[in-house]
Amino acid sequence: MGNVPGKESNGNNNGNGSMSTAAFTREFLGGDGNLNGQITGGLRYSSSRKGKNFEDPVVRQRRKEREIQKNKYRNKQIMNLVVKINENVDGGYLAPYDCYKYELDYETDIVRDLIINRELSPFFIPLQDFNENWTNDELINYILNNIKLHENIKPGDLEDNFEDPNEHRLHVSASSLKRKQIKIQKMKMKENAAELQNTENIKFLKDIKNKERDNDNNNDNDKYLQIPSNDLLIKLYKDSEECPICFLFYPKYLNITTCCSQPICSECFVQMKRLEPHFPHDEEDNTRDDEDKDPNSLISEVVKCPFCAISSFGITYTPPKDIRVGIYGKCLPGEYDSNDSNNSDNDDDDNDNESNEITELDMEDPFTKKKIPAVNNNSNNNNKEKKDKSPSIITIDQIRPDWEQKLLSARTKMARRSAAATAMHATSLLQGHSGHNHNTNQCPNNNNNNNNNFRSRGDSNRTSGSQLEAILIEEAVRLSLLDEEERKLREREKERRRK
Amino acid sequence: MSSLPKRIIRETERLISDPVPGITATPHEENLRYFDVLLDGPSGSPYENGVFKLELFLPDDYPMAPPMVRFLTKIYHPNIDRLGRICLDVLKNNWSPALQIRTILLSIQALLSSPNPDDPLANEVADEWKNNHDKAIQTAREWTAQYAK
Ligand SMILES: [Zn+2]
Ligand SMILES: [Zn+2]
Repeated sequence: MGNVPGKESNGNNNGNGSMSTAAFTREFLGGDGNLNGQITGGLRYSSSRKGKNFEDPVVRQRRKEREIQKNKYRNKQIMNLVVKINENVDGGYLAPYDCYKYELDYETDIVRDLIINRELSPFFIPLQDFNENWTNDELINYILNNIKLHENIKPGDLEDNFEDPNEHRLHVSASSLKRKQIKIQKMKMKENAAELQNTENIKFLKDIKNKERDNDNNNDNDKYLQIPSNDLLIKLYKDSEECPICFLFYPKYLNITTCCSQPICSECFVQMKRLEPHFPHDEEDNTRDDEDKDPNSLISEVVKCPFCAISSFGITYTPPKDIRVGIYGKCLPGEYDSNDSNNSDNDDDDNDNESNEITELDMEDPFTKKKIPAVNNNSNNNNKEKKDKSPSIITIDQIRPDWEQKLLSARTKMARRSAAATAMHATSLLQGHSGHNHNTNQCPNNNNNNNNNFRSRGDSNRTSGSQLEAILIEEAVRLSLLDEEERKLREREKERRRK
Repeated sequence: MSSLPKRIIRETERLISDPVPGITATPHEENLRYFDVLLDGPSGSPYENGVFKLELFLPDDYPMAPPMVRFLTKIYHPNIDRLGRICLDVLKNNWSPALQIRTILLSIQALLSSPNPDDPLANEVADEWKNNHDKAIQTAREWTAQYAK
C-alpha cells in the first residue's frame, strides 16, 4: 500500500457534474480521504470520525466513555483470574491455577457463575505427581508439602507476547500510540493482579502450615475455615485422575465430554477457542491475495472435541454429592469432616435441627464472609430442583460468546480494506482519465504495476466514470450492510449482558 | 521464560524412554521446547532408506496450538515445499490438544507413505505427481539418495 493517491486535485477534473470520486470516497469511507488511515485505523471509529479537528464534542465524549468501559472490562477480566482462598466451590476455585499471564480471554464472569452453580468443574489445584498406592498419610504429606494456591509468578511472565510492528517506526500513528497506551495500562493491571495473587499465595501457605501446627497443639481451628481440612484433601485427591490434555492430576470430579465421556479439567477447557476467522480450506488459494477474496466467505468454525473431533463438543459436570463445601455449600472447606453427613447432599430430607451449622453465603454477593443460616429459606428448594435436573451441557461458545462479533469484525475489516483498494483503483483510473483524454477507456501504463493490488472486478480496460461510481456504490452498500449486521449483533450482545 | 509445563516434560520423557520405531526426537539442552527430529523414510515409499532431518518447536500455547514442524532435509513431495513446510491438516485447522508430538511425527511419516497431490503445497511437484507419476517417484528416489543420508 505504498501508493496513495492525492485527495482533492484529481476529483475536480472529473467534470461530469456528479460528485467527485474523492468526495464520494470520503463520504462512504467516512474519513478524511487518507486511505492508509482507514486501513490501519481500525473500524470502530472510522464511520464517525470526520477528521480529528472537527470531532463533535458529543462524539468525543461518547468515545471516552466507551474507552472507560473497555478499560473497566479489561481490569475485571484480569482481576477475575486471581485465585482467592475464599472463593471456593467443592474444594476447587473460581480462577485457573497456572494461567498467570493474564492473557486468557474467556468470559470470566460466565465461568465463575457456572462454577458457583456447579455446572462446570471448579479449578482444582493440580498435583504434579500422584501414586494410587500412597497411604492416606503419604498422600496428605505429599499434598501439604507441594500444593500452592496458584503457580508462582516470576518476573518476565507478565510481558506481553504481542509486539506491535508499528511501535518502532519513526512516524508513530495515533492508533499505534493508543495501542501502546493500552499496553501500558494492561501491564499495570497485570502487576496489580500478580501482587494480589502473591499475597493470597503467601497467606494460603502460611495458613496450611500454621493449621498443621495448631492441629498438633489441639488449638481451636476456627481461624482456618477456608483452608481445606485434611479429610477434604483426602476425599478429593484419594483417587486422583490425570487430565489427558495437561497430564496433571486432579480430583476425579472433572468435566466429562458428552460425545465420548473423556475427562477434561476446567483449566484446559477454558483455554480452548475457535480459530481466527479464515477461508474454508478448499478455497485456500495461494495464488490469490486475501484482498481479492469475498469477505463474506470468511468462516469461523466451532471448536471440535479434542478427543473424537465431533463438532457438537460440550461437557457436563456432575458435582460430588458428598462434598458440599464453599460458596452455596453446606460448610466451609476447613469444616469438612468425612464422618459428618452434614457436608453432603444425601441428608436433604433431614430436618433443619442442625441448620445453624449449615452455612450459606450471601446470594447477591457470594464472596462476603457473612454467613446466613439456611433456615427455611428458598435455597433448599433451589438445591433440590437443581439436583433433579440433569446436568447442563457447557460449550466453548458459551464461555466465549464473542466469536460472532469477531467474525463480523474480520469481514468488515476485509471489506473496508478491499473498499479502500477499489477506491484507490477508481482514483487512479480517473487520474488516467483526465490525463489522456484521447484515450478514455484505457488505463495508463504507469498504473499497470499497481494493478495486482486492485480488485479484479474493476476491469481496468473498460471502466467508465459511471461504471466507477457503480463500483463505489456497490462497495458502499456492502459496507453499510455489514455495519447494520454489526449493529444488530452489538444490540443482541447488550441485551444478553443485561440479563 | 517460564518453567516447562508437565505435559511437555512427560512427553519428552516418553519419547526417550519409549521411542517410536523409525523416529527420534531430541530436545535441545538450552531450549527444551525445540527438538531435533530424525525420521526414517517408510519402507515401500520412494523415501525408503532415507533419514530425514526435521525441526520441531512447541509454541508457548502448546498444546492448545500445534507444534511447528519443518523438514530440514531436502525432499521431493507434493505436500512439502522448498522451505520444508508441511501441508498437513493436523498441523493446522485439525490440530487437537489431545494429539502429541509422537502422533504428529507418525502422521508426517504416514504422509510420506501416501502423498496427497490434490491438496498440494508444492504445485510443480504435485503436477508432476499427477501427470508424470513414474518420473515423480523417480525424482523422489533420487533426492532421497542424494540428500537424506
Ligand atoms: Zn487439563
Ligand atoms: Zn468427543
